Amino acid sequence: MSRESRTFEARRRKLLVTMSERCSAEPVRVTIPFADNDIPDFLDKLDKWEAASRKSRVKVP
Amino acid sequence: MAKSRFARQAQGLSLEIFPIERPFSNFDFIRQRFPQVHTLRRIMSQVRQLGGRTMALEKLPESGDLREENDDIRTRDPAFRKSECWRLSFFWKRFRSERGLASARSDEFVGYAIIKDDEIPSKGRKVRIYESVLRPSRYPNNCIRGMQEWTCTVGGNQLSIGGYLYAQQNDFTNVCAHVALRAAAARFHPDGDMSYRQMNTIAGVDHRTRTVGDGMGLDTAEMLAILQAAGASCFPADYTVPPAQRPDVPFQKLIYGSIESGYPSIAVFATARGGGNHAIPIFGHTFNEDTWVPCAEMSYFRIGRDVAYIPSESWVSMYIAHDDNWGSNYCVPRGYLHLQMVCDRLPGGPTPCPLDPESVAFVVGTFPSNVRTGPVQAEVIGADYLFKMRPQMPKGAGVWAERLRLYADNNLLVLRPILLDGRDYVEHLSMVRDWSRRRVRARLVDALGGILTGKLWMVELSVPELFSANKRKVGEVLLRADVSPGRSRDLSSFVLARLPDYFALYSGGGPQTPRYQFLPSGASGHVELFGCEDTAAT
Repeated sequence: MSRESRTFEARRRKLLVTMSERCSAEPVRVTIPFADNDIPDFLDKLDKWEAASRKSRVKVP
Repeated sequence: MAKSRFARQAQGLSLEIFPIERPFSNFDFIRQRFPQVHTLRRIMSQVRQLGGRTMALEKLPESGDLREENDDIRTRDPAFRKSECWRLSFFWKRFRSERGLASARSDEFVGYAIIKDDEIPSKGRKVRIYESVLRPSRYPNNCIRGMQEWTCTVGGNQLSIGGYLYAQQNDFTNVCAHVALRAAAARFHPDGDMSYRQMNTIAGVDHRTRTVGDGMGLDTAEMLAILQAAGASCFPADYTVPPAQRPDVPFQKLIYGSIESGYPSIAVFATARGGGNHAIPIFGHTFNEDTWVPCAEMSYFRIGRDVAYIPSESWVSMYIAHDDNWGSNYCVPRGYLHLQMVCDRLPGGPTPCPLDPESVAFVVGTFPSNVRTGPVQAEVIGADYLFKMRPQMPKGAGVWAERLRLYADNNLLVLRPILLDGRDYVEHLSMVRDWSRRRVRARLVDALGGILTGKLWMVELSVPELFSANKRKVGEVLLRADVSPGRSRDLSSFVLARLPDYFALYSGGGPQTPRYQFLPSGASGHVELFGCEDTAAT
């Protein structure tokens, strides 16, 4: 995990702790798995297209 | 006197003042003074529309930017000698003397246009609008974000004007790609403007071994390099790639993601047969709350079998753009720009239709340099989180939990991606109120204040009637914008979500079984969209 990611994780943890402390009501805890859908494949295709588009040489006279 | 860097800030060599209310004729003035500049008719017609009352006309000395362009013209044509320049400045204020001009304020300044007249022996006489900034029209449905402030000196009086810079090409040292880039790059460049020489240096145009004009220009890879050098992060989409080799992403989503967040986009499209490609900067849109488009099936954005929703850009009616051939601040109908139709009746299988050449070839959305997630990725990842969280909302989430289920079952949820700073979100949350005028708990908003930093994507969740008529939403998800999303679902970009009545915060559990805590937010049901605070119907 990169330093940036660790910093973000720490910040997100702080967000949870601070907001939980400030909330008078008992939090509701749930587990939410990702949906089994086509989004990962879509993002992969999008990523490849974007990379190819960066190299494109469409002429603009 | 020290030479000004920019023509807009140069001290004029002469000054004429014109009252331009009726019976003053813009057509007569242009015919008498600048008959070659047909785009000036568009500029002055906007001034008329805006209610301009007085015009100051100044002849300009050779400022730093003009000299740079003149030197480049001379590099290409050493016989080039004569260049003249004028600045037209427009005011709401009525005045007839230098004294009246000296006391004019920025809020009385409508805008300006600089006209450059070059006699290039190998090209002929080229008179064009070198640059212009006008206030945009005041129609309430026009939405232009991220306008820069341009500082001008008119008759010695320093004034500022907000807008996106319009410029025309000279087709000798710069072309349409350059002027579109200038409008966009200025939003990011540390100097507040990017010169054509800077662009040409990046692209390797030296006006000797490589020239531009007369059908020669830049290519899209060079355009991206120029935008990145200016300080932009670019999200390009090449629509000349055959449809089977790219995801089905409407180019409108890229444009909207940029302009709604306050950053310009550039569209490259093919013109009439044989005319080649043309580039225009797009920097705003009009919002039509009564449009039929979202009702049409084609406006659903679908990913596979399970994810379908209505993109908020379905309510865009027009794009606001400059076209260097015709003038500034035009409204381009959303449906007028389109992708090339594919013909499946030709031998060899589906192929671009030869009868439909005038189509979008390439689009680039721009964002600040530290943005790594694009608007399409953000919207899709946000949908992934929101659509999975929605059915898991705690009991007691109110009537909107059930309403959202009905809308979701019919693919009628609306998503709107917008890039913002953490502090913008905190300010937004501190302003919004639910339908019963309750605010999000101040203690919770304050807690966010010191923790949310940097650029974030906020994907807002709404339903059609609430979104279009009341400009309200039922929730949002915040995602980091400074990390590349990739395809893995590791929650590395999830910051928090807010659904009716609750915040949802990640509390661990890893990618396979992420755990969340739902905390009551204090606001129930729906609140205003970002940028629409306090404007909702009551």
